[in-house]
Amino acid sequence: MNATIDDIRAELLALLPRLRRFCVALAGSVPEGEDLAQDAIERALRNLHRWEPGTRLDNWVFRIAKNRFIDRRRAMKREHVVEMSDELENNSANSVDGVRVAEARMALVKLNKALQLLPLEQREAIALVLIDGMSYQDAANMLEIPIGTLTSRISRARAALAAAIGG
Amino acid sequence: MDPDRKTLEAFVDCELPPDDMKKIARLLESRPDLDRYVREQETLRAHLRDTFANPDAYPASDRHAATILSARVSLRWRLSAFIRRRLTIRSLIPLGTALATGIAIGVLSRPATNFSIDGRGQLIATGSLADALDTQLASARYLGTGARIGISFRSKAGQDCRTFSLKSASAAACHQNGAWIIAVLVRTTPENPGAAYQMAGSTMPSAVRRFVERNISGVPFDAKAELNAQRQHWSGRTYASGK
Repeated sequence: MNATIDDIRAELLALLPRLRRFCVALAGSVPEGEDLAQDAIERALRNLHRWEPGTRLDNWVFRIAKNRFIDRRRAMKREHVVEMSDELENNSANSVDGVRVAEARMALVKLNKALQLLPLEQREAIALVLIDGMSYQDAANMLEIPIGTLTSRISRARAALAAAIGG
Repeated sequence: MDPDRKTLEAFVDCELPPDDMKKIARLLESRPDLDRYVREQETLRAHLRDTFANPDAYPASDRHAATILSARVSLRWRLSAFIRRRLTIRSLIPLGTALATGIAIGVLSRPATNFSIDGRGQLIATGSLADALDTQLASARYLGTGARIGISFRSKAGQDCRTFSLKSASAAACHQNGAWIIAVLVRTTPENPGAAYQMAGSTMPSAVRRFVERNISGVPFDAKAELNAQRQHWSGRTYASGK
């Protein structure tokens, strides 16, 4: 059965939480990650004819997000620095759930700062396998690299992250 | 010989063959140094996963969903999808006529959708999906509506809820103020497309199953209770006869 546009939209809706996490991990901040996810969604729908039916839509959208991230970084021509104060500024700490939300966002910001110390190739491997829970095979397919390369990147990233978080 | 670091990490990621997983697990019992490393990696993995998966860490936003539901889709894709559908049903309409018809009614018209965002930012079922949830009984086989109904039940909050599946997603929705609010929506893998159509059994996706388990009051509707609920327009007033 051929996928209809409703099937595609439903699949994209279901993919949203994963895409947001992936984009935030790549971009290093929630606001930039959210913009990246938005960009990826718009481009995916606009270029849907380039997706090959029968292949994984999630891999294709993740790849768009990654390529857009690289393009945006090139355009910005600067290293992104996550400022914790910027991200927490908009948090309504006085609301009923303010403390819980503030803690969750602070934890994410801290972890993102550590992730941003990694080269992009390690960061995307961590985002796919450790954060998203993809199998080695799926992540290697998505990144179009051999599994051995993927596991080496993950291993180096683990060591760096453990040092950054532990320190 | 001791397993190397990458092997221990593959153990943490459950990426080793079952026999190797067992071997490493046994080894860890007698090697506190290796066990410590594995625990550190498990903690790191859990920390990453939990921190990024915590919904509190993200601002509430429906702009992504709104874009998915409303953004124009590639004209070339819509055209080719239309042609594929036509070829699939082996229409006798000549291709030129099919193309013209497609352009006239299928391509240039506003794309219909099974979902929409309501005024409160909630994802709701619309179109043929809403019709299927309103009228289709679980006993009905696939009727071409695009949705396959799974189980129906009364929630603890007193709403009538139904699980359903589309070609590439499974979901649960609860009826509230005349609309079906989508409570959970998960993608079903292309490798196992059949799972999407077997919602009544043990193949229900775990996220949908968890939603049902957390929210169901009593037992799922049997056929009679489902019919009663449908006749009452899923108002939550009927009671499952199985109770």
